[in-house]
Amino acid sequence: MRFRKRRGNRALKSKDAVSCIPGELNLACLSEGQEAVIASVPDMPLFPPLGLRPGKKVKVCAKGCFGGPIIAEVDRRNIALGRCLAREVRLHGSGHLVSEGDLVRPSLKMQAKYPNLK
Amino acid sequence: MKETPEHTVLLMGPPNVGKSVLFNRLTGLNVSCANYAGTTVEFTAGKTKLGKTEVSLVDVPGTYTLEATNEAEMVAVDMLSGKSMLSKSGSHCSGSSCQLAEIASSGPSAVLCVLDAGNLESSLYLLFQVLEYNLPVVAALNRLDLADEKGDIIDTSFLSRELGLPVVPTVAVEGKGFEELKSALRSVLEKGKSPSPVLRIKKQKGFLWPLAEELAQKALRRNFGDGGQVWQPGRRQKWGVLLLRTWPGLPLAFVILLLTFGMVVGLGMSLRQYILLPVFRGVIIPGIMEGVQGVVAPGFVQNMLIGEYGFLVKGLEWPFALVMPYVLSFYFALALLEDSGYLPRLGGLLDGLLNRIGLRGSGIIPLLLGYGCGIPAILATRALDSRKERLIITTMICLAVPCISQSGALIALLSERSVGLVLVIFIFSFLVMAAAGLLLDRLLKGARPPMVMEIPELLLPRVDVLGKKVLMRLKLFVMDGALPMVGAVALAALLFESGIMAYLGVVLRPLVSGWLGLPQEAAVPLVLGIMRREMAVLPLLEMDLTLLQLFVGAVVGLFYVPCIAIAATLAREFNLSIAAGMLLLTSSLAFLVGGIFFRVGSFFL
Ligand SMILES: Nc1nc2c(ncn2[C@@H]2O[C@H](COP(=O)(O)OP(=O)(O)OP(=O)(O)O)[C@@H](O)[C@H]2O)c(=O)[nH]1
Ligand SMILES: [Mg+2]
Repeated sequence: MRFRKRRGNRALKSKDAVSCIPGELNLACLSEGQEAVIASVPDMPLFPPLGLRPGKKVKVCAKGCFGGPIIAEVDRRNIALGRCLAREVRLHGSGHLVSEGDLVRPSLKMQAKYPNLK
Repeated sequence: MKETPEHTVLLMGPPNVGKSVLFNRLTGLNVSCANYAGTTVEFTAGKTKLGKTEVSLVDVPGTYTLEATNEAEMVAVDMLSGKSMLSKSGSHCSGSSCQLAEIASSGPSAVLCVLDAGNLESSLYLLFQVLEYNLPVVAALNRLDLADEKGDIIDTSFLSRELGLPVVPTVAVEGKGFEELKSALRSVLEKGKSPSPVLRIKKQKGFLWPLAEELAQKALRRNFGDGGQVWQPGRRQKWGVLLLRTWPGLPLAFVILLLTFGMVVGLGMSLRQYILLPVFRGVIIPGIMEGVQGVVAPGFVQNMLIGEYGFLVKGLEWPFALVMPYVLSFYFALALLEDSGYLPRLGGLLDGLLNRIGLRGSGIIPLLLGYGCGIPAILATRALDSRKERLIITTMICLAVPCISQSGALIALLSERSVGLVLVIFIFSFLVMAAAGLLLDRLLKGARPPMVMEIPELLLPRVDVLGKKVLMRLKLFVMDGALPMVGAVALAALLFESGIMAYLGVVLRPLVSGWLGLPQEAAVPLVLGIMRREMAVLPLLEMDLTLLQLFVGAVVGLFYVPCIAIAATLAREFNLSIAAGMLLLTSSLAFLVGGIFFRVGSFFL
């Protein structure tokens, strides 16, 4: 499958591979366009009001270069999170993560044609 | 003094919802607004009419929750509990509003809580926290136009019923819903607080989030048009994300920054060259010369007015024909960046790089503001949650970020030889900033907390807002920038004509001529530069300098002490010893680097 191959390559190259133990998914593990549901967040007063609360669907919109922040999308809002904080945002799910974003991303045209594609 | 209103109403709400826009529209004042969280870092009071009665309205920094995480949020929480004005009266308010706010020291009579239609849940959570203070509250549901665009429909009457307080839909930038808001405020002030039905049932802390979620969900209806199930991001949202990605965001950031620099310098230079200079040199100054020569006999007084530093000549030409064009072009460019919401995106992109010099992406905003004026920039660091980072950025601003007046002076000084020199100076200043950051990051104690920053929606800047912003900056420049500059030139004229300058030149000769290789008169800018940053450079324009001297002069001027107003700000925001340390650091570094440049340069040239 196209999707799986790409993710495999990436995981080998990326530094985050170290922090992504199967079964213990965190926000820094996702690649651009993938989404998952938050399981737990670090206890910081800023997190809940930014929408980072357990049970919320979160999507990685962008990953900063030079070890920069993860840009997450929750409730249509974008939040920049330093990498080490992103690692503390645990997600539900494990191993191979199949997400809407990743399947659709290869072709925006397809997405436009079939808005319900999941 | 006019009578002060008996009621004080606080404007509270999450960051970036439009509290300051609302405040400006209601009071006719002009506090700054921009499309990122943390624009307002101090409170400002103004008056507004609610029918016949007048109340004083206070614009407050935005807060995500009432558990304050930075100094700006702390101001807000203190205001709400009525503490700030008693304990630290004046230290957090701006200018003339201190008086007003101090009178209101008994605490606020009501709160106007602004909710974000795009983030109903978190806005409601904050509202619940505010309700715990037992004050009469009116809620404004703002940014409804943006929610509309996404197909969200919010049932305000449902919210109003459940919350037991008026919820008024508004679009602050268009002034929609203001009359309703005013009348709701008036009736609440008359009637006092009514108990909130939802909160009465579930008052425990842990229930507030579920309650907010439930209420938001019930009030919100999503309509994605043509029967679609999934929200389709629009073009603005797509670009908002693309600008954050390494590709194409990073190369685009480079292009955008270069374009901004080009626009500020290019627009400023052409305004000066083709419009202002011809008018000043051809019409205004000859007219003044003639007039003065006709009235005042040659001698001390005439020289004071129209001599070498005559303040009717240089005192008008420098601020209005040399600095003003750059004030215009810079603040226009800054307004574009601020209002579009690009600045936080730039912060997100550069965060990884900035981490290496002890900063986080969010630090880019105060740094960029510093290219306008250091004072608001240093105040803006209040929105950062680490004192260490505040200090690093403040040092960078004092040391190597020239304010727009000084930049104008530097451009005028250097571009006569070559525009490339301007670029060299700026690049050199970046290097010094990076070095300062690296060093301070090691030296100062304290960890750098990781970044958590909201990236606001990308918005199209509105022409009327841009125009108003530039106009306000221009007004501020004339009052706070140009007039003191005229004064500084007058002082220069006095020093020059009275012979004190020549004496100073002799005294400082070892430093100025011996160490820096500049002509003896260059003692003048060093003395005046303490007062105002650009005066460390401007007088050099009148001296025939060699290329090396130009460069050394520019470098010394750049790193030399920030102006006296910044020193005062430092003492207020931090303490006296930091202010003194900064003065010492900047002046010694300026002389050190200048001297080294002179020696190395004369070796090669
Ligand atoms: N489209 C739209 N934009 C708005 C509305 N209200 C405010 N804005 C924009 O939102 C941005 C933030 O406005 P501000 O007034 O600075 O926000 P604030 O609440 O004072 O923010 P802080 O001072 O950071 O707490 C600006 O770019 C405004 O132009 C609105 O009703 N509709
Ligand atoms: Mg504000």
